[in-house]
Amino acid sequence: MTKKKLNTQQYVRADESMKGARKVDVPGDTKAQTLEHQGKGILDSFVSRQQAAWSKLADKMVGAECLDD
Amino acid sequence: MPSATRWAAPFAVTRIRMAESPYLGTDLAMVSVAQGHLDEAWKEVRKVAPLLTDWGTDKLRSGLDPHVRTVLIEPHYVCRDFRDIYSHFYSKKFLERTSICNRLHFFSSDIHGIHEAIRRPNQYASSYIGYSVIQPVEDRCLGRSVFDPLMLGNDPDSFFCLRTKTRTRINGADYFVSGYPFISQSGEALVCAHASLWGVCRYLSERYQVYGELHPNDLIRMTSSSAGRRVPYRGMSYRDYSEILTAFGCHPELVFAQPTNSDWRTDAASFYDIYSYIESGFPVLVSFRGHVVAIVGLTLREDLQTDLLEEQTGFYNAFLLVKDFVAVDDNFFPYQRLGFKDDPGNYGTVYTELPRVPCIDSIYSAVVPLAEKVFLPARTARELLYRILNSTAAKNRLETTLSEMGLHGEKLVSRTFLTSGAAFKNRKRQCMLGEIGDKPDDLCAFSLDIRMPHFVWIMEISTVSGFRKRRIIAEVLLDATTNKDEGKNACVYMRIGDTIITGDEEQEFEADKEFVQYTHNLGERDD
Repeated sequence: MTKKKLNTQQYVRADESMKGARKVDVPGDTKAQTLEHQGKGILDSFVSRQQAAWSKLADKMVGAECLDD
Repeated sequence: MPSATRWAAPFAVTRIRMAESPYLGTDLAMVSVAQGHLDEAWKEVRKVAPLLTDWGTDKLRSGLDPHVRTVLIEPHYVCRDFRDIYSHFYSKKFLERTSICNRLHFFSSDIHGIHEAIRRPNQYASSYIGYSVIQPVEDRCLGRSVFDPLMLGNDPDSFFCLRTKTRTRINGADYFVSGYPFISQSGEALVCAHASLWGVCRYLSERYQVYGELHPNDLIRMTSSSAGRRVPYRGMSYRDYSEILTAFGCHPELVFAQPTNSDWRTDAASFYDIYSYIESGFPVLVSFRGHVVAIVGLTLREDLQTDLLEEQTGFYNAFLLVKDFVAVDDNFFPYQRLGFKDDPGNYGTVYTELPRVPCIDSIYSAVVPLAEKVFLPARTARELLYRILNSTAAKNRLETTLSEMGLHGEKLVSRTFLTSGAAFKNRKRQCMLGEIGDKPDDLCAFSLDIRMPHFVWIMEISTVSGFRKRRIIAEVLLDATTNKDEGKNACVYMRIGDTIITGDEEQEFEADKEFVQYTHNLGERDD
């Protein structure tokens, strides 16, 4: 792959800078990993954990949580 | 002149003036602080600022003694924060007291008289450490105070902290200080939760125009009455925190840490989350079961604290390079060092009465005043960023770059943080022009023409030694308004060495493979 030189004496256009670039598939690879992780329930468990945290703490006094633990 | 009461004596200066004329003379005074004669100097300060209590003197001296050379004193200062709490609380008490405060200004240089300080503020601007309002309350008298931590002996290479520029006017002379706002708790109307929340709100309103200014009684008024009366002594629940921060204009996020045996490594992901929010430039309110403080920065260590790879990745989280968190605790002079457990320098060891010694490992919860358009929480962002970095194109490019740089096999550190698209572009522009870094970085020009969401999550990759030199070899930008399902398409772009990858394209450029770390969030470091 040829290295391009950006001419910063002029305004650099991002789309023009990428003309002739090599094709890759980052979204496809990312999606495959996300599906794999979702299959294990990793992200969903995070969401439910957060909700649980708020409901557990909502009525506790900040800085005095130990009192009713 | 009113008859003397138990409270009248300390405010003699103010009262005498009022008997003559309510407007005549500010009684501005100056005390030179000669090293070796500190006790005498502070006695002089207290003569002119009679509201300064023993507690207040101890706290100020603990942070200022090695640095201060001159104290300028305004004995008659109307503080908008104290007036607010005075009007709504202290004025209703039977024993009379003034609503007038003292204010102390601290300089690290000698000043040859009040006249000089007022005539030539520019000459003394670089030695202005900051100020402290002294409130007419018993004991915990430190009102609104701002000190510049970089003028208090902290090494700018390893100390990173939130600061916002505040203007003070002393008899018409403008002085500026960059620091994090501090107030102590009176224990009567304000408790530690109020003081910490006040600091967060004041920092945000001083720094960003979008937030309005809150005063101490606003916080009391906004505290729910569902748990009974709010003053005196009533603290705040997490529900109050959430409602107040929401009314203020923030969108609070809670991180609930559950380490076992006070060892952060047993719930590492939560601590990585907290670290990410601190690196993102948000003051983070943390609780230790029994006390709450604001975390406003961090200090760095030379090497990784432990050899713990982040789960399912080949990277070490930059949290492992944290030595301390910088804490603003209303019981101490600001910018205390909150260390890990067993750290002898951890200021939290003085709290012997709490169930667990305050330290990083004993953090129980963290409340983060996020902005609205940050829909993606830290943990999900980090997971998505790692997946993007684990794509075939990114992984291959990173390996190639490391080989070309002779860094194959080096330990790699990842740092994840939020920033605004506008601030990011500003920094890139400075790098492009060579205003930051050893020389102009042409590839930064590419970043300026990118369509940016309001907020982006960024993951930077560097070696351990590169991190300390503030140099990185990769950055990945993720749209912070995305969600976990559409996140696969939300990679704004990534730069790995001299290569840009934008989802479905990859292009190499003539550029350095190592480039400048982003340090805007906790203070610019222009190197």
